[in-house]
Amino acid sequence: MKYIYKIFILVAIFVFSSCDDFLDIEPKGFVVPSEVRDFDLMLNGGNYSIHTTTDEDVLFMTADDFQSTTEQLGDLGNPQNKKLKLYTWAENLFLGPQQEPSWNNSYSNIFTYNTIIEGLEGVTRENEETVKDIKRILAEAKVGRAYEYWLLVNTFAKHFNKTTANVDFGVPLITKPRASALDNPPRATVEEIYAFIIKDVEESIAHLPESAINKVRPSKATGYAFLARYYLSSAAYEKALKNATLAINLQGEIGDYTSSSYSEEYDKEQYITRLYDYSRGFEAGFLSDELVSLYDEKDVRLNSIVRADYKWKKINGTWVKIYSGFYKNSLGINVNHAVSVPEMYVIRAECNARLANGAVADVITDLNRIRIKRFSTTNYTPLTALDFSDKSKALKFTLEERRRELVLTGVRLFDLKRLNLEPAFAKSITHTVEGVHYTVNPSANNLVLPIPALVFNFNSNITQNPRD
Amino acid sequence: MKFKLTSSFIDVNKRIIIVIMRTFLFLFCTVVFSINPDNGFSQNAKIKIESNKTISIEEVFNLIKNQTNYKFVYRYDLIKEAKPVFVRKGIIKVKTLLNGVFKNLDYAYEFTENETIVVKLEQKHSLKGKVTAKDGEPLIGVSVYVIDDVADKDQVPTVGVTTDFDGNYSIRYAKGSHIVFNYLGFKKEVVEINNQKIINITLSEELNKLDEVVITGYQKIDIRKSTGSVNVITAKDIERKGYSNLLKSLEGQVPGLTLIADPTREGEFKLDVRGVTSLNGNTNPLIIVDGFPLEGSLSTINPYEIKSINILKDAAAASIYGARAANGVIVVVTNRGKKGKTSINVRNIITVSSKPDLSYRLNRVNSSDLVDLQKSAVGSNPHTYEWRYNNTSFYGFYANPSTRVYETMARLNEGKLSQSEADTILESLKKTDNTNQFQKYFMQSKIERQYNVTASGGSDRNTFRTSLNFTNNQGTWIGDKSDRVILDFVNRFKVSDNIEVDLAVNYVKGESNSSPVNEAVVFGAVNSYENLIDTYGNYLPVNVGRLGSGGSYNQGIFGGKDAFEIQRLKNAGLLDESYIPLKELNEYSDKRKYHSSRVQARVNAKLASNFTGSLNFQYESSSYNNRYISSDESFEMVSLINNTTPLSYTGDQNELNIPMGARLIETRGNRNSYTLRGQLDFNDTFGDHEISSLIGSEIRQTFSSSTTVDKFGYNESALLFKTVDRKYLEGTISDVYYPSYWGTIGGGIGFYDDFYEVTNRYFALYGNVSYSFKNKYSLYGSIRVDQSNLFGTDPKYRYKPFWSVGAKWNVSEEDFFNVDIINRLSVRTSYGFNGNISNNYGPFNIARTVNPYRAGRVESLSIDSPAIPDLRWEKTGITNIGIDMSLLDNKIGVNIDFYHKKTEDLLANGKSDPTQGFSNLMFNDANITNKGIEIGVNTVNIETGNFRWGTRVTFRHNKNLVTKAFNDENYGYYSIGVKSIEGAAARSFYVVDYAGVNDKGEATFYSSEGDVVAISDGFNPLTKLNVEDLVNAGVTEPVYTASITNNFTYKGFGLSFLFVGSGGHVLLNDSFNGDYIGRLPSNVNSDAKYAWKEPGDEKFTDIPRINAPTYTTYLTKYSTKNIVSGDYLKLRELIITYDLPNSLLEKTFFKRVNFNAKATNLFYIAKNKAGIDPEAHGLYANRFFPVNSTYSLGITLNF
Repeated sequence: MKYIYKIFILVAIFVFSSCDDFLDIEPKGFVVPSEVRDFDLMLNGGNYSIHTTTDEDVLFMTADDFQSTTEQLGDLGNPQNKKLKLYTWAENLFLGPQQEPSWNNSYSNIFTYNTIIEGLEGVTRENEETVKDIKRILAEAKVGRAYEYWLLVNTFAKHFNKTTANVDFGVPLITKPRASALDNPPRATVEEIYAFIIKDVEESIAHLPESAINKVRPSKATGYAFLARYYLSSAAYEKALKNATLAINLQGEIGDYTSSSYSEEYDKEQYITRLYDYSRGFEAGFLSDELVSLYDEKDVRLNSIVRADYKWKKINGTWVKIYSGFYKNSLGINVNHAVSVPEMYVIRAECNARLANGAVADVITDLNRIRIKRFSTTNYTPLTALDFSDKSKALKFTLEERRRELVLTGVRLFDLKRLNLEPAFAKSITHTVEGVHYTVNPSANNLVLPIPALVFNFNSNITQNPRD
Repeated sequence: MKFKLTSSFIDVNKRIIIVIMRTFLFLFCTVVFSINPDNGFSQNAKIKIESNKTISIEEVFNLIKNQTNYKFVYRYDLIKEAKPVFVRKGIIKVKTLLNGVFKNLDYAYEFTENETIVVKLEQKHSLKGKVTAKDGEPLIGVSVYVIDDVADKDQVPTVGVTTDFDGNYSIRYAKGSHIVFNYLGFKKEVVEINNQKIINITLSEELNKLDEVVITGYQKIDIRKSTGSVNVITAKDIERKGYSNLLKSLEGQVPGLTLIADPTREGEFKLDVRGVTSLNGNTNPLIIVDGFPLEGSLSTINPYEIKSINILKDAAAASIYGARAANGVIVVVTNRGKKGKTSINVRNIITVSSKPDLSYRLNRVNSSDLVDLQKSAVGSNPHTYEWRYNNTSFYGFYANPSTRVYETMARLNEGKLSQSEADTILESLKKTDNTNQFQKYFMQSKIERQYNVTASGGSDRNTFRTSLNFTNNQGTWIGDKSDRVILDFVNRFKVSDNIEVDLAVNYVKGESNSSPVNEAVVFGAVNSYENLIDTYGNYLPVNVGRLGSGGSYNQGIFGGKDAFEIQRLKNAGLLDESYIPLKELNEYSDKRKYHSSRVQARVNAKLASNFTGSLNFQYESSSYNNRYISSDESFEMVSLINNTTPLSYTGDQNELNIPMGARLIETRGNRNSYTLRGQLDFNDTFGDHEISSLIGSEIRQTFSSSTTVDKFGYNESALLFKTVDRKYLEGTISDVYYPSYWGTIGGGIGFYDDFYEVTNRYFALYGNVSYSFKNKYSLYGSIRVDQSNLFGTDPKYRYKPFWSVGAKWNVSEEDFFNVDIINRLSVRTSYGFNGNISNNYGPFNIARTVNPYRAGRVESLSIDSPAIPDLRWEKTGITNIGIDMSLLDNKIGVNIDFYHKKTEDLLANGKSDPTQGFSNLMFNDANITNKGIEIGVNTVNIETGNFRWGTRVTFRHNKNLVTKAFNDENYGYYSIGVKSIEGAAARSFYVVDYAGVNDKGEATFYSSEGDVVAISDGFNPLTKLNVEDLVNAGVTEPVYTASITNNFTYKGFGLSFLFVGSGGHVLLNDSFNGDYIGRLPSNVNSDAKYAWKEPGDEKFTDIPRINAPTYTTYLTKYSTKNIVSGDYLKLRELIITYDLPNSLLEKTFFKRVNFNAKATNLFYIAKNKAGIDPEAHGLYANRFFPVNSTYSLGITLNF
């Protein structure tokens, strides 16, 4: 019988060793998100997600704020030079299996937002507090997702045009996190995308916190500010004006660029921070001569934003000032491409200038609010009604002010597309490389970027944008 | 065919001789004297018989009594009845005479003390003893029987027994003259019985039958019943080779295991068992040491303590070890103690390598050609950095140094030099070559010294073995050295008759210093015409290009600077950034210290006659300390300090962002793991049926953690450091490397501070059963279930089992089998199923905690890998069919294995739809099959008396095929290179079909339509090059490998040589491909001198002009122009051994004295015409140092 006893010991060891608790340890630093707190933390983003989106080259090199030298464009003999192809609106953009951050980053962030939104459905609603948190997190996620769709639809589709938006191709509308799905999502129409993002933001504002949790998270003011931006780009000026005002009422202080603590002043006027992909910022161009000419010599913006980055260059024996792009750290700032307080003032000014019931005086007030902080007091002469003989002059000046103020946000490409819909502001732009001129007419397709070729390998329902 | 003799020059300097002398002194001083006096018997006394006659027994006794001092004691009545015997005239030994007399009688005699011979009636004689193999291991189940007549072949033994678990036998017999020991796989021994009570015998292995037992780590299986595909390597084979690296000992031993030069890691070899089955996973076989998976390094195993190595190759291996065994299993069994008087073994080996061939490695144009090439690439209007700095612009120029040629031409252009001065400079450059200086000051011969002492002994209840191994190494680069000590202690003791405890302790301590040499400097960042030292012995600065990887982490930090810029920074109060290669050798220290210990305890309990239970426990623990210091005068620090200091620097050290002083990067880490296993074995025989089975469970935990600190301003003697503003340095700091550029250093300075900790746990249940009938038919089945705490093991996958089944038929055991020339024939087959699942993906999102800089370093969660609900189990089915036979009196042994490995739903990280959020995901994406044959042949060619010649041949052919492709490999231009594409072998070279150069010196290639397409300016490979234009030029790893070992022994001499060959694969020649030669120093391939220069050259050369259009270099590199055969045949080893004859040793305390001399890689034949050593060539057309010849001398003493 002795051996039976021994067998018993061995069997007992087997049972002990198969105890499930033994395997129930989670690797340090890793989490399977399942609780409210997990989804809350996901809104802070990873090293390059949520707060990092789109691609600076795509937005800057195709518009008219910057001009590039041959050196900045790189190897001109290389037919795959992306900078060169963007700058010349070339036919074969985004060829081959190259990953395109302006597409990928946004959809990657949308995946995270969708994960949060879907994940919150499954969490237990323990008490009032939790329910409130869940609503807030949902609202934050929806506001974040809407911004990604706004960037996508403005980059990869024709600009919102009331008459054709219901047939113009937008981008695929993904609302569920299905990383490995191969379900060929088709392109929703531009109208559908706009309706989707505006509805999400409108419904979310009530649940957004009064003040943002941190600089990459939205507050109520952020919600209104985004709405103002979206309404403006869909030409709903009444609503844009209303929401800009609501945003300003909650947070309306404009930073003083003449201050020595420039970066703090800059941070003060941001509602939420969204950064570009490349840590060095945009470096492939100098401010275009045309844009430089729009600034007053005494405008601190030229000095604050770009003067820190000009260099002297001796050309044909004379010294010429060359303005660079922006470098966030040489400015001590992270350049934000999401909404800011001054943008709200220029939106409101533009709406007032456009709307029949808008007053030029209101336009002037708002523009002065910005401009007073952009010139040292001794140098500044406020705008007066005398400066504008009629409303259209006020609108023209407002649009110029918008360009001066939003120079680093990359919205210029979207503004170009938007204004091309209005004959009065339609504009041809020309880039020159080694003496060869490349021009885009207002009616041309080339300001709409092609869908990256890679996407077609996975999705047969996608229609490509036409290219001239 | 090219025949190449590798350099056999050894630098036999004084130092080596001293080392050898010391080595021998060490040996003789460590010898422990022990004398074993021989108690001789006197039965060898001789008797003279005058004539042939028939006499009675009593007369015989009288004959002996008269001629010797022997007395007889016997009962008279016993011999009275005995028949007279016939004695022949002559001189005969007493013993022999008595044996003859008593041969057919039931009497026995015995020599006792006082020279008395006792004769008595012996109804039953008894004999006992122990049967062991040559290595001292007891042999179990040996047939032992007594026969009466050696000459009578058909004699039926009257009585027989088999040896027990300890190799002991005990036999009682009435009559017989000889005892016979017979055991499968060993030579039959017949021993004359001369009154001994104990006959211990050592059986020697019979050729082709080495593998009597298959050790799977979990159990031992009689080879006759093993259905799996297994190869066994014995200690003898490993010992003779004497490598400190166990891997090398395995080459050419068995057909299933191939050692392949790793084309991605210079100087490294990797083991390959049956081809590519994983595309990005681990491809190493699992190594099991004494039953436990080895978590630590293979270097913790003392190579001289190996008893046997079993290679398990088919599905049965994986099914018992789980997923990690998919690439095969190497089961290492280490030695245990031997019963008996303590024996000591001392061994000492020194190995010297030929000096690494730097000029082969560099394969660059000579200085004269380099100057001409660089001169032609200078362009029309070269300018010095100084000129650019002062004249044209403040941007677009960098502080990198130009080549001396460019510098000279620029100064000529600027009028600072006259034509004749410039010519003088260029002429002197042409005459300088620093290859030998690098070889002399940066490199050395590898030397390895190994010392090993082993003691072993024990009693019936307790055996022990302990060994101490010391290895000292000097590496290829100056300053590269390492020491390692391994201490092993194993003790096995019987607690009771049924319980045995086995305890093993292994301790390893090591230390290594890495070389301060920056290989980038030697391999191309410095042009050949740069002198490192002048005739007075002064170290010289050189124009050096980019050093280290840099990348975005340290962009602009580690590169040389132009002399003008160096001076300018010095004037600004900064440090001197001149790069002086020889000075640099003293500025870095990179030390690693480690120790590890491993404890194994095993308890085996015999629970019943057919049940055994065992408990096994292993604990491994190791820690290491890596310490890297770059001194305050090192280029790394000088450059880092200069490059992070604003140009407004006034000389006040407080303005420095990185303080003056050294940098210390130190990592301290530790690992530990434990395994606990309980197992029940059942073995029983019912008539002709034999069943053996086991069931067990295992838990395992592995833990590792480390901490790294990175400090600036470090003062080694004071143990002080200085703080830095990390927030600033890690951000984006101004880039003063481009002194007039407005740029910043993206990503800032990288810091190495880090915490790391991982714990993994595993649980497994396993079992197997084998059944055999009359030793003719065997069936086998096994199953295993694994679980772990890792992600990805969704419960629905958790219980997915591995399983295998097998069958074997010993044909030669059948009665009807009657083929004279075949001694043994068996066929076996197995099929099994195993798989793999990704640990990093699962049906849920896995997020990582981070503190993103861009969000203000708030605590965040970021999705690391998204939920992939449809991820499936990777399935591999392995079919194996094997034949084993022995022919012609066991003089030829043949093992043949055919296998078919089919892997489906292979897990691969492939491209996915970015619209869904990820551009890369884990997919079940491909199917691969591997088919192959493995053949092993052992023969005894000649065996006469003292001379023996044996041959071992191994051959393997593996055919790999991707039957389903990945979705991301079909993009024309992007498919160039090493890819795995449907319908061809995995890891094939896809290249363009090269068509030579045209009259502009541009490279051209054939399109799929047969057109010749030129790579001109503006050539866009995305639109001009389709996937159809590419050709599959062959696989990157050998399709077949073969080896031949010949062993000759004559008396104490042994000679063996091993040839290895591989082939069927291709290499990419490191030619010149129209590369860019510009202002900066770079390594220019020697073929550049044949580059196209002017129209007409295209008739004689296929090498594009220098600075050819964009894409030329890449497309030409990956073109049929550079594809060469990888086939080779090498004399891998030549070993001469000599054992001092026993006659010499008899008077000493030595039992064995063996000398061993070995040379490796003496010569090779390679099929390629490019002069490439196929085993020393990188996957991406880069040369490695050729495989060294090595020369070893060793001595082994046993006493």
